[in-house]
Amino acid sequence: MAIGAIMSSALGSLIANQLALSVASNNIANANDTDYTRQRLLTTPAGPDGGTLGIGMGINVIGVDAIRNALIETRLRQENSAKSGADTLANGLQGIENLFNDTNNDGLLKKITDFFNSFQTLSQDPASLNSREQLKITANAMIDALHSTYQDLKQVQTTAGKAITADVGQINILTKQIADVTQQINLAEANGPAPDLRDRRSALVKQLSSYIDVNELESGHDYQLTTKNNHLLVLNNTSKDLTTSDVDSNIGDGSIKAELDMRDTYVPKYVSALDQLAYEIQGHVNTIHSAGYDLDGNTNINFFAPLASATDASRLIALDPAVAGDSRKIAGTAAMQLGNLLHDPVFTGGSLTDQYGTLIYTVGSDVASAQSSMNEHDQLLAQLQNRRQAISGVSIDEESIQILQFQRSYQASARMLKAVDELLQVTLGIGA
Amino acid sequence: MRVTEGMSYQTLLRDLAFGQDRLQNSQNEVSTGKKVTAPSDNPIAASDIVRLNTEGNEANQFSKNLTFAKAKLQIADTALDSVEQMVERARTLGQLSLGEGNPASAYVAELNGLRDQMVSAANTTHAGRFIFGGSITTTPPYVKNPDSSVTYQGDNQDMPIQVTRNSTLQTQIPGSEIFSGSVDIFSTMSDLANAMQTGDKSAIDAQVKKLEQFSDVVSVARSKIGGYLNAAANIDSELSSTGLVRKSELSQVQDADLAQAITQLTMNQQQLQATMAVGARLSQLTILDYLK
Repeated sequence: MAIGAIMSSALGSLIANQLALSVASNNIANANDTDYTRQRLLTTPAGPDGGTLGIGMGINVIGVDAIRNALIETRLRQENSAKSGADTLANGLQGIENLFNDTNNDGLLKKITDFFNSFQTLSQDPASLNSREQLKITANAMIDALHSTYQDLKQVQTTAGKAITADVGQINILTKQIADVTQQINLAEANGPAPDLRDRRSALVKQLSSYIDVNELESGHDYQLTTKNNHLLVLNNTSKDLTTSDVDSNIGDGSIKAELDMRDTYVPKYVSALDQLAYEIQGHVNTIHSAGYDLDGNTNINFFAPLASATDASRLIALDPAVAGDSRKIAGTAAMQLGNLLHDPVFTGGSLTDQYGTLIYTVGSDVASAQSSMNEHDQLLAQLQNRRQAISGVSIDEESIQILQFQRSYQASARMLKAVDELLQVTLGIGA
Repeated sequence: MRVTEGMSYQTLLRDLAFGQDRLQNSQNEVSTGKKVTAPSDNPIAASDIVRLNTEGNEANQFSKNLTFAKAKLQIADTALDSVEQMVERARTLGQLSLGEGNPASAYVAELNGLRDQMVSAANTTHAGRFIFGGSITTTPPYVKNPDSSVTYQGDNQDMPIQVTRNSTLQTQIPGSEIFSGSVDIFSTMSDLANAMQTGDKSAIDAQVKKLEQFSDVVSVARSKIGGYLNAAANIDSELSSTGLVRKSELSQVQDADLAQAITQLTMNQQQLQATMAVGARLSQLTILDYLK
């Protein structure tokens, strides 16, 4: 083997170690970026020099490799969708729970109780105009509470609808960026690996996955992103905008699905329970009231304006104009029977309190299960993040030791060059 | 497993967040004294709490009804007590007028006075409402006509009020069952006065007998009212004993066990401190310290 060959092998080693050091430096620089994938310099022995002894020619640098596990990346993304959906649902439902917080004896049910108790007070002295006015005040307080609970629920529904629109907008911005990065990857990879761009893209896809769960498909140079219900989002360097009409219950996990559930499942469920309650109060009170007699001996007077059906009853419930205009029209003779409606088991599901208790139970258990699902997904996501870090995360200790290693190799290669130089001087000195 | 610094710090952050969350929960429990403050804390307990609260609110109303009924019944009882005395005096006057040489005119004047008092006793009010007129409470049940006869303008209806979920209590007896019932006291008294005026002894005797009958009617009414008051006292103690049971039930589902909650708070505090201490050690562990 020629002396020149030793020199070039030493030089190759010098360069390879320098490259390895710069890869380590890049790893350390990005150590705190959770989306970063650690990189390694790929090298291979340069192979024999063709001589009879087959001595190796040093080192060949192949490229830079990013150490990632595709399966974990996919699971992580799915879990991110599930976690984001569970968070959104739990937060939304907690807002609704506040509307039904009767456990402090200061909510809608207290107003309903006050209303029926006012009938009991009226029964003490049916002729009392004060008691009649007081009854109207508590009736209006109950009606206002029903109206405002209805409005608040509808507000939650509207907010969820707006959030869907906003999320679709965010999704479209992200898919555009993903298409752009895909184009850059294709350009860059024509010349060699582009791990940083791939990290950038998977960070964007991860961001996207908090809104909507996606299928990622890559084969050769082709890259494709679709939703779980098969709407194309990205194909190579082009993105296709999602519209709100593409969003249905098959869209897959993510915040958008949670908002959809809030808007189309949870809120309508609570509104219809509230409507049923208001409708039945209206119906039972009117039936008894119209059989009683007012202060002037008139009968067949409704207390509430009659409602035809339970639809929107909690929004529509109101005093009958006759009663609203003149409290003498309240049927005092029926006062006791009306007051007893508070505990009479004539409502669907038992008494009025039973019916309301069922609503409270439903809201409470919906929130509790959303919260436990949120905690569960939080745990799972953390586990997956740890598994990803275990494979792809940068360890400062590890890099520090490798720096030491490459540094020593670099020093040894330099020493080699010096040795070759001395050999050359000896060789050149032969003739002198 | 390969463990990176990032993993350790992420885990530390999560542990700190969990620790803070647990600490805050137990802090809430200690400071509010309640273990259920929102339906999601325990949905079943929440619906129980709602039911118990409503029962409590309803029982408060029953208790107000009861107070009202007792006051009204006591006023009726007092009025009937004075009615009994008046009847007794009227009977005495009748018997006195049977005696020889007694001037009837003085007795007649007193009797007419007693009759007027009787009218006003029959028109007794409670909180501005007439209590002997049946369900007609805003106009006097007994009206003295120009010919000094007295007519009943009430009705014969009861005025019950609800005092527990399953029972009602009568709050009054209509005048038609007392003053103008089997014996009409007003016509009896005016008949007696007439008989005394004319000195018709057998008529006086007959009216005095009627007064005795009326006295029985009044004492029956009084014992009815006594019965109602008795029932009211029983219901009162029933309400307060069920109230106690309800309160202890409510406390069981809603209130935190303070000793346990404080122990939990201390434990959570220590756990958080331990997590923080681990965090402090974590940053000291690096190979860089040994590569010198």
